[in-house]
Amino acid sequence: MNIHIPTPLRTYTGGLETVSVPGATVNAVFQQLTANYPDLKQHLFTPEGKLRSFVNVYLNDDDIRYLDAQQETAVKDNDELTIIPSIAGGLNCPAPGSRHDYDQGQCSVPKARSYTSLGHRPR
Amino acid sequence: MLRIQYADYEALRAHGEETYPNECCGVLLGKSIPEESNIILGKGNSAAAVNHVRQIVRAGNTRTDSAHNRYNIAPQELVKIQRQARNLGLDIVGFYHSHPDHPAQWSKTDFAEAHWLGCSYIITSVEQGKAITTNSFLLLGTGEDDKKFEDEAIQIDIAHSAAKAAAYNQKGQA
Repeated sequence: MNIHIPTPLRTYTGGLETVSVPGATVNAVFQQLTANYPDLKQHLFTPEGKLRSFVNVYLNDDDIRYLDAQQETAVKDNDELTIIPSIAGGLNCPAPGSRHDYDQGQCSVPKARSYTSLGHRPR
Repeated sequence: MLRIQYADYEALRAHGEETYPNECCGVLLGKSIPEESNIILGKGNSAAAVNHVRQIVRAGNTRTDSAHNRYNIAPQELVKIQRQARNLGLDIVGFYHSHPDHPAQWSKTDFAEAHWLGCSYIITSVEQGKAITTNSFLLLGTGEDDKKFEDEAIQIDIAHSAAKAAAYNQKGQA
């Protein structure tokens, strides 16, 4: 079956975007893949052999984590596996309305101002 | 270095203004090309390359629970975008997102969640709804243990836009 390799991991597949590997299950395909391209293994799996948390694997259009048999799911030759690392991030200011203070280099929430009914600030 | 068409550069900045006060995000499709000086020196792909953007793809931010300070592109959408790139003969060469009311600098969260080594991460600061600064950072390293962000120059290509404008002017004069 064909496995699509994301840009950063093509360094370990000789630049190939798609590699073809035989196997009866997702797990078997992965074992063959990492046997053919050993340097891939550490980037896909933890030392304990678990798929790294930021590595998503799709069997056709399904995330294998949500398949009943997960990595033991049976595959056919015309199935496709796609390896896709996650993409996420964001800024550090936690509260809505908070702003980054360019001078202090940290986040701050503007202080609430109280006004009298006449619109004057209380003394 | 990141190379991008002026129209794409403006479009990703405009995306940040549209989604303000929430973060926007998207994907950069293109080709990673070894710099000419490295080809001459025989350094090959291991040396610095130019991530040449040919197309940008807007993506949805799935972090609706905290969209003002977090972004996440659904893996399913990434799979589709990677398929789209493959059909176009392109690769995913980077990503972009905005920082509403925050500098265009990578955050701890950005770094922790960055896993696409060799790709460019563009960040645009959007102040009070207006795109201000756009920076790019190249994720370097061989894995999670030694990865690092490096400031990356952005080359904005206006030749294509200028050629289109010139053609339009000639047409007008004829």
